[in-house]
Amino acid sequence: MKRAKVAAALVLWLALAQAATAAGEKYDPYKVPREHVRASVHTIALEPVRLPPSIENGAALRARIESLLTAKLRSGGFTVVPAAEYEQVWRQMSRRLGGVFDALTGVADQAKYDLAREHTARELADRLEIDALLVTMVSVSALPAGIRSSMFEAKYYAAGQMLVFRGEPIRGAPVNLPQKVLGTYLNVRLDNLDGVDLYSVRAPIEWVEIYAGRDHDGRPPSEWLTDPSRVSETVDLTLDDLVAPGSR
Amino acid sequence: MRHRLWPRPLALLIALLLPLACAQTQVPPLRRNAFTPDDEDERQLWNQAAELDQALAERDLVYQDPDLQAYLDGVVQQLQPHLGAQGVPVHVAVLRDPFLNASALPNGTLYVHMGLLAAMDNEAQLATVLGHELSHYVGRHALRERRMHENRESVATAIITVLAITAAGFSGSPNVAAELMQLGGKVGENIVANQVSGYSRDLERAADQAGIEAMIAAGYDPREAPTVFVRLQEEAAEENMPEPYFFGSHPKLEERIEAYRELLRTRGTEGGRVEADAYRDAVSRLLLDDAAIDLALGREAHARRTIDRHLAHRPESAGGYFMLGEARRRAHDAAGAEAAYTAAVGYDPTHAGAHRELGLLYRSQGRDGQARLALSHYLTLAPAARDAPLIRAYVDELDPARAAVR
Repeated sequence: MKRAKVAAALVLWLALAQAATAAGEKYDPYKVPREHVRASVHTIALEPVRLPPSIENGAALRARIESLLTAKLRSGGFTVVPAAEYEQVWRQMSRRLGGVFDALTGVADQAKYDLAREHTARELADRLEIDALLVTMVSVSALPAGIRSSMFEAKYYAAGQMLVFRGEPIRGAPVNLPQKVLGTYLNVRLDNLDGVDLYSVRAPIEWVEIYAGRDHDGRPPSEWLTDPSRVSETVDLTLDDLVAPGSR
Repeated sequence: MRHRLWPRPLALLIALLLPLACAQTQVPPLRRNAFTPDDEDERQLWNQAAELDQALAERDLVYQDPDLQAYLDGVVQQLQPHLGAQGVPVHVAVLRDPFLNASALPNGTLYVHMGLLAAMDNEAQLATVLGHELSHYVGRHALRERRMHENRESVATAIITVLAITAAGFSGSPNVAAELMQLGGKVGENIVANQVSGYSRDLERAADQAGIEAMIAAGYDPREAPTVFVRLQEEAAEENMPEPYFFGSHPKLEERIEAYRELLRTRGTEGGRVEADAYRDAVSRLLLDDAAIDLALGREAHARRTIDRHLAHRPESAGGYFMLGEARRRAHDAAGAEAAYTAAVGYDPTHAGAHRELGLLYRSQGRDGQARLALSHYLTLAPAARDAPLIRAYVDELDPARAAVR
């Protein structure tokens, strides 16, 4: 099955490369025909949301994002298995394998990690009949200023909203600047139980730097992701295509 | 007065240019002895085809099954003399791709995709496909296509220039002109385009005709020829989606089916070999590997059909029942999966994967004794398996003595 997965991934890559050429610029988050997703995915387990280490009060933010993801997926007719279920089974798997992460470096043993993930999914499928896993991660990377992300044709992007900097609201930075500053992205990927990427998308949430004179100045991490509407809109944006009428 | 579409000077210029274009695309077919291209453009095509061969192999997209390989080579060798190409080096390769396609590279590599082999019923149908692709190679259609495109570009350039100068009686669309100009393209793009969307209609028709003549001459039943395309059409309709490759393109398929039927009407249908058993033997393993890819892609209906075809031919295949169990497990049909895995270990008690799946299934249902037994069997058969450490932990947990201590 391992070779089958590799072949499947390559086939998808080739098909997508071809489709991308034909389809033009609109980003299509579906990595397999959406009919296949519609036919085969009914119950989705959430993996715990992964956050950058610098985020303060991560537990509350994680809970908020998971709650938003759950509501959005349910609105599309999916049954959702909470991330806590995944977490519990994952911990058992990790214990059976004598730990997945190196105690000193924190680096994952890839073979153990893959095995634990595969069997966690398997156990959730056997027990709760899940069909897919939703992997969600907040990442920090360069965010185009005043232009739309090349990965995602966003209707919403960071430059359009008020930012808080050191407790004071500031205006959005001037648009159409060629520079990039760091920003947070919400990355969402739906994997089937064979680890095949069915749907993936990322959308910008907000800047974590601002322009200061001719330079950039970092916003304090305590101010990151504190605007509920920003997070909520981004969750909607990433899952809109998955839950859209006709997708189910 | 009768409306004249083309101004007279332009018509004259086109009349002068077109024969020149046609003359340059006259390419003699390959013949018996080994062939290496002399012309630069054909050498480029061969080099790029070799690069494509290498890229596909490096990405592990070429399916390996020595028995199937020998079988495919044998079928091609039966067809070659009837295309005047006995002894011309040809290499048949199977692509690890579950979709329905076949293609010929200019250097003699014929690619047949796993999905197409899985969808066909017999050797006569295979000979139809290979005869068609072999005709493209022997007829050097890639070179002809390339030269035709180049000539189209030069003709188009001349037409545009003349139109710009005379500006007479023709609206002239710069967009259409730009599209025509792009037809010249790069050689590599030509190769890829031929693989993805087929050759021009005339060359496809020529390959259909030569291919069917070759399969008839080799003794195959020509009535099987249109069946290939009918099957492809059914599958494309069932998917409710355009298949990514040219065989799935409905208008072309319909045209092709009709063309084959017309050929049969004029040629006659006197019967011949079908070789269903030999074909099913040859693709037996491939069917299961194709089903595994389909399952990983979520194409469960395809996978089930392919597994059924395998089991219809090999009703005692442990591998077939194992794969059936995998399909049922993914559909959350635990009872069906258990029955299939049980059949697999019944036909082959050394089938490690079936023991493993049975053990995991029993474990999920709280049937601890059966789970422990099945998982222990698995560890005995596959002690170095990737997941052996985890399965050992399961077996440990399922030990009643340890459970009592806990």
